[in-house]
Amino acid sequence: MIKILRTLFFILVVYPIVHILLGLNVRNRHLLPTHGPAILAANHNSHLDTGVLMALFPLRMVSKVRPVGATDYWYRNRWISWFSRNIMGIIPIDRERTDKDADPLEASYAALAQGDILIFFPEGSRGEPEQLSDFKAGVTLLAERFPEAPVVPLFMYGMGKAWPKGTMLFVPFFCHVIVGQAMHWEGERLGFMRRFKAQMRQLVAGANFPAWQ
Amino acid sequence: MRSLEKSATITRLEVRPLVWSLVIMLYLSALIPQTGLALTLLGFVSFQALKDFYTMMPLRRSERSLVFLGYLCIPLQLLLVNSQYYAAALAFIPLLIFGMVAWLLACYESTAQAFNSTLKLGWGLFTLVFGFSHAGLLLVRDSTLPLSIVELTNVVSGGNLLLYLVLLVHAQTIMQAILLRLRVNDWSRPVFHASLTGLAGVLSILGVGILAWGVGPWLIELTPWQAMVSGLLIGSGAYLGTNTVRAIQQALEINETERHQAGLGGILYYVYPFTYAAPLFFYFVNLFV
Repeated sequence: MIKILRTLFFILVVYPIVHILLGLNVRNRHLLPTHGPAILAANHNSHLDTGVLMALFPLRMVSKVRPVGATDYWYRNRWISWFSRNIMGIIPIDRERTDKDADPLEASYAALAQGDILIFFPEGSRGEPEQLSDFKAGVTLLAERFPEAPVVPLFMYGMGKAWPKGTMLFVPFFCHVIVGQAMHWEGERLGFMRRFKAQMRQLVAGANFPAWQ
Repeated sequence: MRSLEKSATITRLEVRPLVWSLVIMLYLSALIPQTGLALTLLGFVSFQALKDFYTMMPLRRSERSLVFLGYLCIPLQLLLVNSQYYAAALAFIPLLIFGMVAWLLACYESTAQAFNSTLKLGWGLFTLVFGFSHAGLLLVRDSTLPLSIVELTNVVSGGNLLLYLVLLVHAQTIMQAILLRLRVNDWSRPVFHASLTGLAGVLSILGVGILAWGVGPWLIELTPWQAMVSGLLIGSGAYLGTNTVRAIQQALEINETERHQAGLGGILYYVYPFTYAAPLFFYFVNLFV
């Protein structure tokens, strides 16, 4: 039943919004992972980011694509919790560290261990539209624990214009997703983060999109 | 390097289905008998083109709500078209842009910013909603209207008029593209060259005139000379439309090799020619309605 609901939600809501109402232009689609475990690490500017990234994959793969989302947002009440867990497949991350002894990435490790493709936002939260914020260490920790899982950097542009943080008005614009070359763990945290930042900056520089002031 | 070239080709191919589906919708809107459905298809094409235009424009955050207002104008304009309330359909967008939008912006922005925003937002509305809606006006045209510049029998439907327009506009854009590529002898990338564009433009407009001379009498029962004049008008409008998109892209310094990408003017190359050609053809058929 849940599987049918999820399928219907993606066919009737997510895919039409992303591909028809919004419009998506994907560069280097062939660099997307075809199976897990893998980590998609993208910038985060909008309510739409999670849906857009899931809509990059065909319907048969959607259940294996698991976004990592803040517990205080995606699990804030009963109804949203049910929707996040069953329909979106959100993996909770406790960014407020309510339990100091627990590892906030534990659920993410478990998902990678069962071969899922994780959607991870290294900036932690939605930042200023169309601007990169500082990256947190989470993506490095995931890569270190699962060296066999490629980390695919993605730069998304346009979602922050269409539906930025702090507004309820959704205004359609064409959106762009630029997929970068997959990165692999090479044994050193600082070096990995440096390479990841450099890759993201390169994707931003190559995008050449109009300014959003 | 080879990988980058491969990815660029793949990207271009990926957006083609969207662009071509819009072209198919234009033909379908002329062929299906239900006017409401045909106008809905035209509205969808207008929406996608307007979205492409606003994506291409360097907009400010404060202009988001006005962009939303712009999208809302599409169904409103098509409702007026469908009701055959010509005066309202012809006045709605111009009054909205030069009255309400300009006034609203002037209230909340500096005068310079208000002018700038009115121009950007208004240009999209004026061409891709108002200009393009003339294709819908052709579709619902009342053949008994007085003061028609050409005599059309009641047998000629609005669908035929729209099909004639779509065929000729498409023919002009294809002819211009082929002529440019033949001259430059490079089929692998888009061509931009001022003098060559002018030459290809003149030849393609003449080509459309000749095509109309053959097709017009058969499809919409014009005399051959009327058909040729209408063809030259449609060809000129389409030529102006294509080159307006080029001019906008060059002014915005958008990478020419990316012109087929959605969000960077790819759709506009197929829709913008109608924004000039449709009004010209509409007024040719119904002068001073």
